[in-house]
Amino acid sequence: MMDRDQVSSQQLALLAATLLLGASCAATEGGPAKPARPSVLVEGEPMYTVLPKDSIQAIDEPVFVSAVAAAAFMSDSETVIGVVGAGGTARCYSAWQLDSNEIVNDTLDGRPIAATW
Amino acid sequence: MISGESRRFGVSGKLWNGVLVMYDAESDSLWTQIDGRAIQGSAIGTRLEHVDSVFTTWAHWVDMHPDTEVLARDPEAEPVAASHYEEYLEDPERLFFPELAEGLGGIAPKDLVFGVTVAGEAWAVSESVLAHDGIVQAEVGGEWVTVVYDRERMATRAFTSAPGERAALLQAIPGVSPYRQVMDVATGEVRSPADMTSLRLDRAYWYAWSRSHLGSRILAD
Repeated sequence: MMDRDQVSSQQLALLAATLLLGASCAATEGGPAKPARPSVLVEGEPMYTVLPKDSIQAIDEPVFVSAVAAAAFMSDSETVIGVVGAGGTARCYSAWQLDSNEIVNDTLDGRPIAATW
Repeated sequence: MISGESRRFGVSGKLWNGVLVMYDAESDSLWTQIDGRAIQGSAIGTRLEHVDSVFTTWAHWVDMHPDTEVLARDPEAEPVAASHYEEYLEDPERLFFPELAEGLGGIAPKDLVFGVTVAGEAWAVSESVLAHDGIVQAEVGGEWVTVVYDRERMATRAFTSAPGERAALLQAIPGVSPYRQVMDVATGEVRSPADMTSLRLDRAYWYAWSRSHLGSRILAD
């Protein structure tokens, strides 16, 4: 459901599953984050450029497999973003896998959605 | 979709309030992940519609949805044994930018919270309070909001009263996950959160939620 005060008169895009762990700048695992350079202030808060655009590549043509097939590569404790479409299709995206992609551009039961991490 | 056209999103490489900033390939506007709002470019003033989702473990998800489809993994890629960000996730002190810890009203920056926004008013509850109580209710933006939590599955759901419906005081039923069923204290009626008017609920670190929703109330220990 939308926040009514913020809805514009335009139709809006669809966004699934925002998990707000702000992950994208810790790409140097274990080490210190790269020095970031503030670019601009947005609404009074600095927006930092930490990586070149698209250096983390979103998935644009996602491929899905069955739960049985996925059992070969999923761990029980692996965190997932799960959604159920209007047609009843259940679909999940591994958060561990999304560490490397952060965004999946997808269509679920005819509705364009983006799963973001 | 925006004005009936779907957009493709990509990773801008920028962070704002410690949160992923996306761009859309069609207009190159920038969007904050936290509430799907355009913050720079021609799309300013628009906001993406939220799709209900669950954040849980694979074991719990597949138990709830045995027929689920799963994002395929590149067989050539290295096996994924854990989150890349395990150290970041597990260290309560670790932040990308130390200044994110400033001015957070005494709540630890990396306390996990669940937040809702109604009529411009933001409110959040900490995961520890939710895990303890199972069900939390509050008036937010003039609406009566309920958040329920499934301790086993870590799954959460937020809902509000239907238009014209009274604000019901709800409580957990012993032995039943409030995520599935709760009881109306006044009437004894058993109700299912899945059938109520769902409300967007964001799971976020407190630093990200509070910076993106200035003045948010917080229910915490």
